[in-house]
Amino acid sequence: MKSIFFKMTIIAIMLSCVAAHGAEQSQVFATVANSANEPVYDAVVYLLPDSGSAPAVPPDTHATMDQINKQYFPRVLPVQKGTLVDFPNKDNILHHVYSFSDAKQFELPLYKGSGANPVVFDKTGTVILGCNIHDWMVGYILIVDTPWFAKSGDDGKIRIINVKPGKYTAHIWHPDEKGKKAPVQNITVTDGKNADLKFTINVKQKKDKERAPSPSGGPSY
Amino acid sequence: MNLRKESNSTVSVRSFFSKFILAALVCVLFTLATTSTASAADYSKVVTAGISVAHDNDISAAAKVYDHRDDTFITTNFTYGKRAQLTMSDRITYSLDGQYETYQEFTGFNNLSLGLSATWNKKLGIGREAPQMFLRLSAAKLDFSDPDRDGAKYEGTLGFSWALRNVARIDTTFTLDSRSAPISVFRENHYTSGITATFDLPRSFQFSAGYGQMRGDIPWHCTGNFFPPAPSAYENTFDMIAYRRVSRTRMQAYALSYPLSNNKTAFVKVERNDTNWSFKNYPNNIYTAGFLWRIH
Repeated sequence: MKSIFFKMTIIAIMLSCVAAHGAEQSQVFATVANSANEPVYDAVVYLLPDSGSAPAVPPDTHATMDQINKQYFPRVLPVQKGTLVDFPNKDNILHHVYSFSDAKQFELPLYKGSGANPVVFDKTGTVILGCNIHDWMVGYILIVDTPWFAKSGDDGKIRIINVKPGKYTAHIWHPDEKGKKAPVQNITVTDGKNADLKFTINVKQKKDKERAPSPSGGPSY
Repeated sequence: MNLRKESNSTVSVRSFFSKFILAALVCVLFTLATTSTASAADYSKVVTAGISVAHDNDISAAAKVYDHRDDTFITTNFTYGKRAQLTMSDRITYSLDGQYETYQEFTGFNNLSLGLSATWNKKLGIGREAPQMFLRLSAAKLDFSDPDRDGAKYEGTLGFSWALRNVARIDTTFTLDSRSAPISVFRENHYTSGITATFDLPRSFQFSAGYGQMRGDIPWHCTGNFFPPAPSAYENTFDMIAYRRVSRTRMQAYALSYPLSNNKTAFVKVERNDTNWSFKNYPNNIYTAGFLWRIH
């Protein structure tokens, strides 16, 4: 009796180890380059499951779009649908955040510090932010319906973690992409194995900044 | 030597305009210093400087070709002031403005200008392409090497500006200005209307093209041999007789600028003025190259 109990305990432990190992999340790595094979930063890769159902964002999930040195930081902010985005103003001057984009139209008029209420982004799409006082300030919020997304750094590399096994369609987005859009890629993620993607996109990267002073170009007497 | 004087009615109009501009400027600055809206507003510093070299091929504004004088001059200028965002759509900027011009040959034109200006800017909507309007008032003391030209300049400009997508920005302005001087021949009144289009070109270049019309007093110069119309006087800078006439000038200006950094710009500018008087056209060209800095 005792030996049977002991054997069943060992088997249960082994099965739980197998189950734990089988549930190990995978990672998806991607590299993004332009047609000259130079790394592209601020590119967002997101995975949409072919099954059509992705976990919803946990309630009260926040992301932050800062205003620093009269620029939006980060310039590109990807979030999952339903995320609350805070807009703290870390400059010592007023800003007036606005968006006319279909995915979210809103205004946060003249404020300093963190006084503005967060804004919930509940519709997928691209939101382009401006500042009504400082016209050169532009920021982008990409709202996706999946928790599996990441943005490329200066080296053009992306790492998406905790991806469940399954079939996905990998999409890429960049605010400065021109011409023909990069095609989507089909990817299958299996237990415990990482996947690799490579994207080439047609992009001319911009840095929105305050323009240097201009001479008076008009006629004068 | 005052050869002829101007009429009393002209003097009173000129005097009224100058006093109006000065009074309006004082009111604006007083309001900024005392109202709660202004005191609660968000202020940021505005500091800019510039230097340029220019050549004018008819600096004497002479009707006769043999009286034309050309010269090259260097201009340095600075602005020190504050900008306040009063409301979502209203911004006011006030500053101390200084400028010094030094001429290569006709040093009587060397002059220092020091004054105050205030600009109220109103944005009529939200976004980059929202139209804007502005009202600018300024008053400056002018100190020339030739003391006959010393005086003050008062200016008021009403402007309207809007952006055409990411293609161009259009600015239209209407300006009244008045200059005082010890002798009447150098006292001037003008009204000018203009329109300028500014385009962003590839590789960060910016090009602007402007057209304007000015009507007002121009001190012309001649070497004599005729009795000039009133008012007129002998003047020292060109060793000629100066006489003031109301004239109409069509002005064109073309400028190309390139940002050397976030805060520094290099530019070149070509101006062409065609002045019409007594059914004849008198052109002059000014070529300028320079740098601008935004220090704050």
